[in-house]
Amino acid sequence: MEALISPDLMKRLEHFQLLARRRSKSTSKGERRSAARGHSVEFADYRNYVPGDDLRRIDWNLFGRLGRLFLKLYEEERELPVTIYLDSSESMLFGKVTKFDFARQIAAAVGYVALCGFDRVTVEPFPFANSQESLAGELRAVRGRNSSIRFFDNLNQLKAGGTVDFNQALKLGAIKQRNQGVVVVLSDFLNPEGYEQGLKSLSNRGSEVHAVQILSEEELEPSSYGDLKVIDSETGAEQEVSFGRYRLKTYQDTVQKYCHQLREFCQSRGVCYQLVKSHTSIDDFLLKTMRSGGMWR
Amino acid sequence: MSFLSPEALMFLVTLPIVVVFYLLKRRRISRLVSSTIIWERFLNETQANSPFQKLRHNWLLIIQLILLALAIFALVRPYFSSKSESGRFVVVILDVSASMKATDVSLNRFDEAKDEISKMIDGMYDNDQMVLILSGGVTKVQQSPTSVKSVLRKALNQSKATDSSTRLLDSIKLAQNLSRNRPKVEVHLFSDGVSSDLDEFELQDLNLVYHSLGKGGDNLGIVSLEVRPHSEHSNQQSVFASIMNFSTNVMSSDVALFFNDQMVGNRSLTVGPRNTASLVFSVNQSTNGVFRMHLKKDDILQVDNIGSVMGLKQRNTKVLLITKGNVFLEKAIRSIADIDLIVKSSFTNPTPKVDVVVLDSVKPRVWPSVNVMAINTQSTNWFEPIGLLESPPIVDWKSTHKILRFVNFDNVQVAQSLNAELPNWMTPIVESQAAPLIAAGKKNDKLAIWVGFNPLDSTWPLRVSFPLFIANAIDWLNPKLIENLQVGEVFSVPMAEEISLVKVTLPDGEKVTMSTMPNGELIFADTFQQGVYHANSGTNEIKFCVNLLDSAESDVQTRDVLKLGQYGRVEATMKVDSDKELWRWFAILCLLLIMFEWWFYHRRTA
Repeated sequence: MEALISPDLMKRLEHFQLLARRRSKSTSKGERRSAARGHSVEFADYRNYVPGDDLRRIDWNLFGRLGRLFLKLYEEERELPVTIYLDSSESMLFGKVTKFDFARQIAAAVGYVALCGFDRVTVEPFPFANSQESLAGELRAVRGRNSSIRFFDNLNQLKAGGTVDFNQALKLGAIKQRNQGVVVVLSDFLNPEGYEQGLKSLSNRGSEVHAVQILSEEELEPSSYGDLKVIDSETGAEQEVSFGRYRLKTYQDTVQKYCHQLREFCQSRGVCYQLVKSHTSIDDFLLKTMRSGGMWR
Repeated sequence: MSFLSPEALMFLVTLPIVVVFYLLKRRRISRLVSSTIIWERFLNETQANSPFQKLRHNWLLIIQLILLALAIFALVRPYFSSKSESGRFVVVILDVSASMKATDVSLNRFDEAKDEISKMIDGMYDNDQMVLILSGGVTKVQQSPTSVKSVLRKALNQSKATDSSTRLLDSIKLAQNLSRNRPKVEVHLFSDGVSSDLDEFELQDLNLVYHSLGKGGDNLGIVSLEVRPHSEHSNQQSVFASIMNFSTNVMSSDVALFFNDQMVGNRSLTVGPRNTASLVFSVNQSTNGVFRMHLKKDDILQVDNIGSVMGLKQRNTKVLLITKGNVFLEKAIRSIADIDLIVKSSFTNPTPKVDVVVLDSVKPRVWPSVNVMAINTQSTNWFEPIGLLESPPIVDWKSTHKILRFVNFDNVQVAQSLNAELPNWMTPIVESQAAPLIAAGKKNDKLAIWVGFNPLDSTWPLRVSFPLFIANAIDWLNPKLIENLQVGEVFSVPMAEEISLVKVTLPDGEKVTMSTMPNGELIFADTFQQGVYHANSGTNEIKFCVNLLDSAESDVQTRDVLKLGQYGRVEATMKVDSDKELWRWFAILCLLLIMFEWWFYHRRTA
């Protein structure tokens, strides 16, 4: 089985750290700053001493100046939950390099960066085949850099197929998500029901959402001309269309308009949006585009 | 706009069939795509941005429907209505005379007429018939009645203008005969109206449309040209010419005279408006040849700027008089100019080498084989005398006959005359109450004049009419070969008996082979070009000249009104009413649409 990401790329990804604009609200310990007070080296605040407090944390210098007892408070470091929603519907199987493979490579990269940062990584493929239930379990709440090999293996075993209600899948994911964190949605966003409800439910949960739209070359620049009957791979819906080179520009305008609408929606909901073609270099995308897009640094 | 075949509208039912074909035709290629959502949006957007979104979606269908509708439209044969009705019998008379070569309009009048006629042919219905008559020196039916436009066009294209005068009368009469008993007749005359013979025609109810051609302009033309022996110098010829100015301006020109293509004279000439100037050239002539006069003037009619005449050395007429003694007759013959007279008392040689034999009251044993004037005698082959007439009064004579020119019998009394019944080849020219006194005719190519009485038995020798008659008779019996003709006149010349084929070279270089008549005579009628004609047979060559020399034809001013008979007037109409069918344009549009559809389809699916 071919590795999702090359060792060289893995080495370079190790230097990255996922960016989170909000402080982690996770309950589990980790290496991310959080709003909670606990034990760390980062000073946070003072509070009045109350009987029963640990005397080791009284600021004696302040007692010397003021004559009153104050307790020094420190920031609690928590883990950052990273959830990757991976569109594994039938439509993701198109493209010279399939959109699904490209999405898995991104998921692997994001997951690896998170694991290296001692964050908890969950991959939620949708739709989800019953036969892969155990596999899905393995992909939930993976922690630690040591888990990365198994994480990659499990990711590699995922298969795409079937239809999915995008909005429903993301809504369910949002409900299941207990703590705010970083959410990455990898999809082509070509859903008949739209994408708005799903993204909205994720962003409403307070998570930092990254939407990565993956489109194949054929979707951006069709090579089939003439009187066509196009059949939807997921729904089986048919559409008759007469298409020629002279209408290519119009088609591309339509695609751009569609992507622009998605971008605008994402911006309005505070969602980071990236568009990527499945045939582009994964290295360039991960090291340049996603970095400049604020995914990591 | 109306339709000639409205029944073709039933083909409109084929329009839905095209729609069905269109639906059947669209066999689409199935393509599995990740999602149709982009395609749906693409279709929605392209439709929403177009004002005729449904039409745009089915452009091919629309094009095909338009195509079919146009084809049906062409089938119903639309046309713009006009005054004309269908089923006409159109007689077109095209003037091919010399004046039609005038260049006062673009190209010339003849070509303009052909253009107009061509338009008429285009405007013909299928059941119309047209006859094309060419009217020049002679009338010719160029194309008999037909509805086939291609045949008419071909006949029209083969028509050529000639150098002849106009004789419209025969053409109009022919058109009248052709159109007799036909319901819808139109006679279209395309001419410049230069014709002098229309006074004899009564228009009656003939539907004649006169299309006047030309605008008029300056023209200087040779209207007469003649060669005569010089009155004083026997070795010289006098060339007489009349040049007429047909314009309203004073015109000048150089006139050059050539003899056998050598210039022998050149004069400058100025002629006042509508005036004629006369020119006389005296030229030394040692051999027979052709005089050619050239008017160096660039006017609108070039045909009349050139004239050619044959200049022949003078030869005396040889006359043999067989008489017992008639001083009046002998004196009368001698008084004729250029006569070599031989007087004998008896006739022995039946083939004398003379031009004319005059038998005066002598009956020869063998009748002469040349032209004869028989006075008071007759050949037994002609008629048997019935008897004698005593004092026959002269009651009638044909003063129009060439022999009786200027001859008057008012005071002539005849004492006695032969009473004979004339054969049918002989025409009486002087008659008494009971019998002819003088007759003339031609038998076996020989001319004969018979005088039934002895002039000495009458008062005639004492009258002026006697020498005039003798001079006329000798002239008539010795016809000179006419080498100078007008265009369209028939040239005839007796050839040697052994010659049966003669090659005639026309002025334009065309060669025509002619057979001589059984009597050895060459008759050539195709003299519609002016210039010098050469008739060759072996080493023999005969030249003759053909000229226009027609002042009426040279007068190229336009005539807007054509006078026919005493009261008839036909005014000129320039434009021809015709129904112009439009189906060709629709057919062309169909073709263009087919090409556009082909291009559109390939561009769309390329």
